[in-house]
Order: sequence, then structure tokens, then C-alpha cells
Amino acid sequence: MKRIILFLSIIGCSIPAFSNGVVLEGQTIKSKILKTKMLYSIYLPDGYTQSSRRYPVLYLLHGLNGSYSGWVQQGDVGRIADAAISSGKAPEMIIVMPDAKNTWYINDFKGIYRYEDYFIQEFIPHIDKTYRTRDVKKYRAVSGLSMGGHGALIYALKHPDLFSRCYAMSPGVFTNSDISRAKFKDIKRYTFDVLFGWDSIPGEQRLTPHFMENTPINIVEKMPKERLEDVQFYVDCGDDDFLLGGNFALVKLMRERKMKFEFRMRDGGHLWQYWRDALPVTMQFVGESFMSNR
Amino acid sequence: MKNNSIYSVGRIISLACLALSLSISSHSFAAGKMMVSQSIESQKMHKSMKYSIYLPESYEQSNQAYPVIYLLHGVTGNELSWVYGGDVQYIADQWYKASGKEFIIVIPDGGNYWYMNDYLGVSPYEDYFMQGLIPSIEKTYRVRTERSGRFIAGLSMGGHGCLRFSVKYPKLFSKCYAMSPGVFTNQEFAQLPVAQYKKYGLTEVLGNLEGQDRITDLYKKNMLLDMIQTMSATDLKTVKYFVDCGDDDFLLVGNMALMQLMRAKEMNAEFRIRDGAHNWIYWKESLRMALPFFSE
Repeated sequence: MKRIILFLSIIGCSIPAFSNGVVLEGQTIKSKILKTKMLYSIYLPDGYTQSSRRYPVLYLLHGLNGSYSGWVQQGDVGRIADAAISSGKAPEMIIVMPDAKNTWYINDFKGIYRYEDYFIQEFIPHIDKTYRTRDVKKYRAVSGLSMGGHGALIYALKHPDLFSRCYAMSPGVFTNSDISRAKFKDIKRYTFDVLFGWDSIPGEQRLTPHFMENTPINIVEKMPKERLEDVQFYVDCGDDDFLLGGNFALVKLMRERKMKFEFRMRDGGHLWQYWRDALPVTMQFVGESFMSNR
Repeated sequence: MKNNSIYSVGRIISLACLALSLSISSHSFAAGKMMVSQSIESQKMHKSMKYSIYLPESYEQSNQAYPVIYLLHGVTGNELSWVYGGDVQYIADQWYKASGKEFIIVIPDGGNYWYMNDYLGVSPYEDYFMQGLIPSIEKTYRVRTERSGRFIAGLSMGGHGCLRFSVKYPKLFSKCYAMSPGVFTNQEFAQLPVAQYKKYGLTEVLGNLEGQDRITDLYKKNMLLDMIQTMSATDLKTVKYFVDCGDDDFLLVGNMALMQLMRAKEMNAEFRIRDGAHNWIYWKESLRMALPFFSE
């Protein structure tokens, strides 16, 4: 009998504690602001349904031409989040993946499609009401890739009362001179014509107040001193990424303004492989806030 | 503990001794030899110049020629900096154990010369390096003499040095690994506080100048960003580069300008920003990354 117990305990020890979260893809919310039904996916960690505890939340944003499915399918969020949690790298958390079309997560200049207002005024409250979240700043973080990296930066910079940490993966950041020189073809591709009203506006005339209020570099430039340390940032961009120049400009400015941030450049391009590798690091980084005393 | 246990104290001690002796002998098996502060009489520099050299484990038993890495130190360093601060012997031995790859590593004393000829022509360090050091090393040791077997790396001022040598002499070096290279934008360089400018040895190398006056013709010919601007596209694409800088390094802005310029010139380069600052913890890790890069 003793041998059997010993045998079982050895087996028990050798099986790693495995985490089995669930991914619900394509949940819906009715938006009054956008006058339509919006979709999102959500990762609920192992034990969510059996327990009554509350969890911290990571909002994880997709890129241009992406959707609420991107992080589920290409991003492999279920498996990667399970592994990060079961290995002890990151604490248990809920991960929310909204759908933003190609809005860059902001309101358009005419105020017709107000995505940012939807996200802040309807989406976050809906998540906090529907799931057992911890609905305070310390336990809420935002991350995203490319256009979603832009979105994560914008939300953390404009709503520092809502988010404690922000991890921007290969964020879609451009300098004002990049923007002034951009070809119409690219502006259309990025839907900046619709967002900023640049149908036929050339050069520096594009640097409208609406644009300046909705781009990370210009927000950081204008940010009042006392708010610079409200959120902790992490910027991560591949050495082969076409957005390297914009990322450098952002980091240079963040350093000049003495903000708190981490910056990494790993081997890689503007690719899902890079972002899948970034996800456990993101969870660890935001997890530090979720686990800290302060 | 009971006496009849097989794990008697005596046995444990003897097992521990055995394990210890095994680990010592396996370590000494893969140990290269570090010869510190060797001398070269230099006519160019009008004095005796020092270097340290690491010879791999198999050097004395073989007659083969080994690939060679010139490893440059930073400001206020010397031929001992990498030996003691950088743990070069231990790291090279470890890499040999892991990969079987052996290198000769040469660590010259670069003073505060920025690895270039000074403006007065009193201490033409670059001439010494090219016409004195390299030929002397190739005469004295069995190093490979073709460019595919000659590499260069360095930290801070030495990072600037290895980059400028590779950009200027692409036929000599096949790969270059720059660690936290001492690269400044012209604006940063003009604004360097006088005390810092002096401490870095720049007064002797480029002249006792202030502000925009520091951006002389000599500066433009010898400082990296301007050099890259003027070199031919073919020369720039000859060498494989690796540039590595910490996210807390005070040189980050200059390094980002360098990386962006290297990208614009389509140079063959890897860039990394890792967690860390301008210190030996960072550079030891860089060396651990440089050896695989030179082994590829």
C-alpha cells in the first residue's frame, strides 16, 4: 500500500499543474453609441466557473484589418495564457479581446463613429458588469499589436485613471513628419482619410487638433508633468519592423519627458510570431501590477 | 541519521569529493589560456603598447590557425578591462564547452584614443592598430588572416571603435558586434558638458573645442554617423553588424539614431534593445551573444 501511495505521489508530482482556461469567441454587446451590436472574445482562466473569486483584466487589442478573432486564432491566446499562468510566470487574469474594425480605437473627426467613447463608456462597464472582474485601475491593463499598440498607448495616456500598465507591441506610431509626407495610397490603406478627414489634404495641414489629440507622440509631448508617471509603459518592437523609426521617436520623447517605461527590441518583424512571443511577457509585466502591494 | 543508513556521513563526504573533483577536471579540460599585458613596441605611438590575449584550450596541442576576435574596451579602460571586468576567459571557455567553437581573442589597450588618429598626429592609434597591432598578432600567433576569420567587437568607446573600423576597412573584418556603442548625434556631441568631453579623452583626440565648433572636418571623417553618411553603399553592405544597447543606457538616443541610419542605408545588421544599462552585467551578456554571432 505504501508503495502504491509512493507511486501515485510520484506520478502526481511529475504531472505539471496544468491550466485550462476557456476562450469564448464572438460574445456580443449592444452599443447605443455606435448604434450596432459589437463583438468581442474573452479568455476566462482555469477555475473561473467553479470559483466565486474576482480576477484582474487585460484588454488585448488587434491590429489593422483584424477582428475579435485575431488573438484567438493567430495569437493562440488560450494556449499561451494557460502556459503563462500554469508556469507561474503570470497570475490568473481575464483577457478581453474587443473588435475595433479599422478605427485605431479612437473617435473619428466628425464624431459619427465614436469607438473610443464606446470602449470607455460602454465596453469596459459591460465587461465589469458581466464578468467577475476587479474593476479598479490597479487590476486593469491594456495591450495590443500594431494599430492595437497605438490603441493601448492612447487609452493609457488619455485614461490613466483606468489602467495601471500598458504594453505596446510593435505599436503603429508615426512622427508628424512621417504623416505629413505620407502618400494618399497609404493614408487610405490606414483609413486615416475617414478618421482625420484627410481626403485631399496634403502635408502639414494634416496635423489638425483632432490628429494631435489622438496620436501617442503628440499626447506625450503635451502631457502635464504631474501625470507622466500615472501609468507604467512597455514598448516592444522588432528590429526588422517597418515601424522602427516611429517607435524610436516615441521612446526618445518618453525618455526626454522622464516617463517610467521599459523598451525592448527583439529579433523579428511585423509578424504574429513576434506578438505570440510578446504575450507571455505582457502577462508577466501587467501581472506585476496585479500582484503588487501598492 | 541512523548508522546503518547507506547514506553515512563518510559516504556523503567521499561522494561530494568525487563530484567536486569531476567538476574541477571537466572545467580544466575546457580552459583556454589568458596572457595579460603583452607588449608591442610601436613606432607610430612612440612607445610600448599593451594587449592581452586569450588562446583557446587546444592551441598548444594543435598547429591550426584560429579565427580571431579583436575586443575593444571603453573610456578609461585598458587591456585588462575585459579580462577582469568582462570575464572574457570564463565566457569563452563556456562557449567552447557548449559549442566546440574556439577563438583567439585579442584585447588591445586603446587608451582614450577612440581608436582613431588624434588631431595633432601625436598618437595615431588607428595607424598603430592597422599597421602595428594586427600584423604583429598575425606574425606571433596562429590566427586566421582572411577576413572571414577576423571579427571585431567592443563596448562603449570600443563599440564606436569596432563600428568605425568595420565601416572604414570592410575588407579586413567580416563581422562586427557593437555593445552600447559610444555614438552621439551631432547635436548631443555639441552639447556634451566640458567635463564629460575631457573625461572621455576627446580634448586630446579631436581638440579642445566647445559647442558647434566640435563638429570639425576631422570629426566628420572619424565619427560614425557622419562616416556612414559618406561611405559607398557597397562598402557599407560588406560587413555583418550586430548593435546591442540597454533600454536604460544614457547612450540610447545616439544608438537609436545609429540604428535608424543603418536601416536607411540597408546595412546588414541586427539590432537589440535589452533590459539594462551601461555596465559590465550588460556587456558580459553581450559577449555571450557575440560569440554565437561570430560562430555562425
